[in-house]
Amino acid sequence: MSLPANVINSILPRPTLQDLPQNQSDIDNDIHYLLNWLSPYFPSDLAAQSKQRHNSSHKSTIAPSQRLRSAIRSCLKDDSSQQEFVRLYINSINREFHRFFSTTSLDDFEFMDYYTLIRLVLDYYNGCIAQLHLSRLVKNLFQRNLNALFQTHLIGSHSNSRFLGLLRDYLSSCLVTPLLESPTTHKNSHNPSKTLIDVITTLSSLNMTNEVNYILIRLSIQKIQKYVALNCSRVWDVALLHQISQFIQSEVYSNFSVIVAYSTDSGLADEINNAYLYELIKIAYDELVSLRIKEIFELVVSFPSSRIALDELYQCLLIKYNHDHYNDRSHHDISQTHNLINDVTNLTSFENLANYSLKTQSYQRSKLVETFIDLSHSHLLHSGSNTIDVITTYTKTINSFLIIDPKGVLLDKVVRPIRRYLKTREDIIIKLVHGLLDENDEAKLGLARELRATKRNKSTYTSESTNIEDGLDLHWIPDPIDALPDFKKGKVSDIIESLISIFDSKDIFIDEFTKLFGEKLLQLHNYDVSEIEEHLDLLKTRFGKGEFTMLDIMIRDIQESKIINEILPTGSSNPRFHSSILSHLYWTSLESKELRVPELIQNKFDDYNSKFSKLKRGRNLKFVPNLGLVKLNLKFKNRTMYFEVSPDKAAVISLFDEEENELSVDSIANKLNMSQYDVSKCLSFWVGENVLLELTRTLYIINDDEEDIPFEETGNSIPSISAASTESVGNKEHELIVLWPHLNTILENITSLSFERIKSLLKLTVPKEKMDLTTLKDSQLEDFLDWLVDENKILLSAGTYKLKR
Amino acid sequence: MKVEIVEWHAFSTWHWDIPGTGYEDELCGICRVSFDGTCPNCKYPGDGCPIVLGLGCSHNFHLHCIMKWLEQDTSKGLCPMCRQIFLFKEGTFGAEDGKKLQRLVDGHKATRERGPNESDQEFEAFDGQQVE
Amino acid sequence: MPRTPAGPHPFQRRLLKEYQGLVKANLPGITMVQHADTMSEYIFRIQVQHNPLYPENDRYYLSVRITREYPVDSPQVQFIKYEELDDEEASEAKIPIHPHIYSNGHICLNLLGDDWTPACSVESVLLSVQSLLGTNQVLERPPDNDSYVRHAPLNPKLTKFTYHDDDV
Repeated sequence: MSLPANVINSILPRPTLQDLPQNQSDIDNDIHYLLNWLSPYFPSDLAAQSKQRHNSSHKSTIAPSQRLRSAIRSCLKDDSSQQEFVRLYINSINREFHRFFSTTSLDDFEFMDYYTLIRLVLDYYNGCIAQLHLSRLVKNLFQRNLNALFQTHLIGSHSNSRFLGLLRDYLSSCLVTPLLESPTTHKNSHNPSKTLIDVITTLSSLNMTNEVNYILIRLSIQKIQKYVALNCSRVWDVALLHQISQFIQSEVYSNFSVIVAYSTDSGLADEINNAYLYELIKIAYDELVSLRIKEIFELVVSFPSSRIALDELYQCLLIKYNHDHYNDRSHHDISQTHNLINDVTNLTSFENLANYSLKTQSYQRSKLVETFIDLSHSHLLHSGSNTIDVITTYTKTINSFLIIDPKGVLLDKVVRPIRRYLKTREDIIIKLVHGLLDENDEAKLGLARELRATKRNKSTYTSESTNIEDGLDLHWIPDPIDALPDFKKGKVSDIIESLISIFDSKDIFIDEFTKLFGEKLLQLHNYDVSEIEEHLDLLKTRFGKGEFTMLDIMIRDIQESKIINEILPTGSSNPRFHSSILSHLYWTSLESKELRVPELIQNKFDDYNSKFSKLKRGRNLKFVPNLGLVKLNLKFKNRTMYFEVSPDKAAVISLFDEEENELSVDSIANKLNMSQYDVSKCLSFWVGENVLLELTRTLYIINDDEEDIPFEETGNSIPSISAASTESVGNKEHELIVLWPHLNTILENITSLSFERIKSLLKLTVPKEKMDLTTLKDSQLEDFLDWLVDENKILLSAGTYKLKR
Repeated sequence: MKVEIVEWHAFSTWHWDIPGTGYEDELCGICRVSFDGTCPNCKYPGDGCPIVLGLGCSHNFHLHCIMKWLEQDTSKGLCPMCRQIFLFKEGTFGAEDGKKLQRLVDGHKATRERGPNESDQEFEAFDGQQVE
Repeated sequence: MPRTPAGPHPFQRRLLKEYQGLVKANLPGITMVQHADTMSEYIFRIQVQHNPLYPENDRYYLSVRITREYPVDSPQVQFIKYEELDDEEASEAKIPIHPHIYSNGHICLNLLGDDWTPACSVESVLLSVQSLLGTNQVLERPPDNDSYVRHAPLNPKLTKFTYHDDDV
């Protein structure tokens, strides 16, 4: 609720020109005359004129009359009366302003309308003032007051100033393209340059420079933000810093400097401009850093294709660090400029710019770490991810963060959650061990490469590990302030060391290696340990020479075996028999299973053993029959097949040597002292190789065809009795007709069979309930077979029966 | 079908030939390590770390272990396990080692034959000096 | 525990086996009170059962030190005056009175000297010492106790004992 004007006036008297006494004296006449001339105290019809963009031409153009001049002279003789006069004048103007602005609706005003309004008013008063011949001091007083009025009414409280909003839009539209381009290439048809300059000049004369600059800064920052977001988001393989500063120079700064040039004293223009440029670039880099912080996890995962972006991040952080601490000499000048500017021109807007980025480098660093750790928890360190992926990301993290921060402080922080997590993965050791030895890098861990690199870098590696104690190092400098308390300098860049150090002791690795190598050695059949030795040497450089005693012994065993095998006389060379001789206490992955090898082989072994005992006095050998490799030939009627198989398979197939009959799993298991399960496995192998045929679940027989007919798999091993086959037999039924389906199946599986074979097979496959074949006479069966031949079911040729197709 | 084995690569483990049952579990009484393993001084088992079979008392040891024991005068050439005079079987180790071992055994034998000459003495406390 | 020798013991494996064996065996009346990480130095508390000369409350502390030459050479064994920290019931620690045990803790035992072989072990020594006390009938010090103690070296292994008492 506002107080009525008269109440205000009674409290705060603001005498206006109207209050000047109406005397009839000469002086009064002068006053009157003057006042007459001055009125109206406000341009008339201002709103309409503004809209019509009228240029004012008022009292200023008309030369003052003699009478006026003398009136002015007499009324405004000295400073004090001038001041008094001006004070009253201002109060009148204030009233007018008030009246105008509170009654006139300017809601439909555009910016240029406002501008015209300002110009009209200014011109109006400037015209008046010019004639009054006031002293400079008083003139300044008037100006200042007038400016204050403008500010009050146009800007008021900044947040809802329509004028400022329009000013912002106007400036923004002007700054779309660089101002310094030639007008002909300018897209906007009307050339704003000149107008813009006029606007800026006018506003600065109104003491609104701060507002202008403030808007300008905000616009520039927005432009920078947009640019960075648009052009730098996810762009990681191109160097962007240069591009950014180019952009700022050409697009942002150019406008900025032009406008600043017109709004500040020219004396400091250059320095201010440099300072502004520097600050703008800094803001741009900060934007880039914020963007990269958001992208950090993906940056790491995309390593090495994101290498450039990471390097630039490092550079930005470095620049930031130097700025924050004013370490760089050139920036010392900048800081001086800062102070200079602040002192001389009191440009608060510049302070705004300089303080825009409140994020210090340490804030950026900690935000980077925080973001990465959060993202790694949600994306990586959970049970849904693959151990290999976690390891890979771990190595990538090391590589990436060492680019961002070579000292390793950030890496140290960021890597701790991953290390803790890796420890919980059960298969981590195995994966690491395999990865370290994986020549072909199937897991793409790159560890094998690193391991090989160790040897090359061995000299640097050892020198690094002899870190001078901090207390003795004369060149010691403290760790960065955000390093964690147990941060250890120096031991960062070695990825393998970093992986190994996750675990408390090397022993688990060594055990795993020993296991792995042991298994490899058991598969070795040519006694060539050179590859394994190479790997072992690499590991020794990493873990220590003396850590692999068991492996050393194992390798020695194989090497000695080779020599022994060369020394021992082999006797009859068919088959060639040789053995790897092991020191059993040191081969932990040795699994000995029972197996009865063919007699021939057993004899060979016994012979070998006695020769060994002669050579190595006091020692003898124990056979481990289930290990090794057997090379054998299988000679069929019309083909020979060569195989290299494990001993158990060889033993199984040896039972079929010269054996026409079928053998059951049970009997094989008994003969060879093997479990039924193992026997089945071996038999499946031979079936798969087309060597054996599976008659039933438990019976097998040699697959010996006369012709080379490819074997057709019978999925179900139980012979199915097809109803159709029963029907297709002829009218006169033979008494043994029930045997036909069985015989059919048999002949389907084994294309040709002799009489004896048929007899024995039928005895086995036909269930006793159907027919008891033990009492079957040969003649009866022969008869049946002949009948089948007559019925065109089967053929007889060269003593064997076949199915008729 | 004929099965023709061309080559058989086998695996076998070597063991010291020690008479008696359960030879795999037997330990050398001095170092308490299995015979098929090394004595504490050696890295590689086998020819480099042979064993010694006792002759009279059938106690066996690593060559290096028993030599360490026999080098001590206090051993008096006796078997550590049963305190009988220690004699060994030939055959499990090389000639040089054999000679060394024999020398030690002979040395003790000689001492024994020289006869006891100080067991009647009252003891005296010395400071670090042993008389022999 | 006092200074540890340089490097691992040549028969470290055996020491480990012996240590594990001692822990497992849980010999009655014999408790491992202290042991070094290297397993070459121990302190055992010995209590004697079924001998009124040595009531059960009496605790005797035996120090066992494995030397570099072990097991070819015997360990260094002697009684010591030892105070267990949290043992309120204990009467003052003392050296047991026995015809073969000197008041400085040195023991005259054949097993520790001439009759030592690598077949013996820490366990066998402990049992022998316990039995030494357990079978004793006479609560006396050795006849030459005072003169011995006056001139004795710190290390009982440097003493050349003669063992002429057959009921030891």
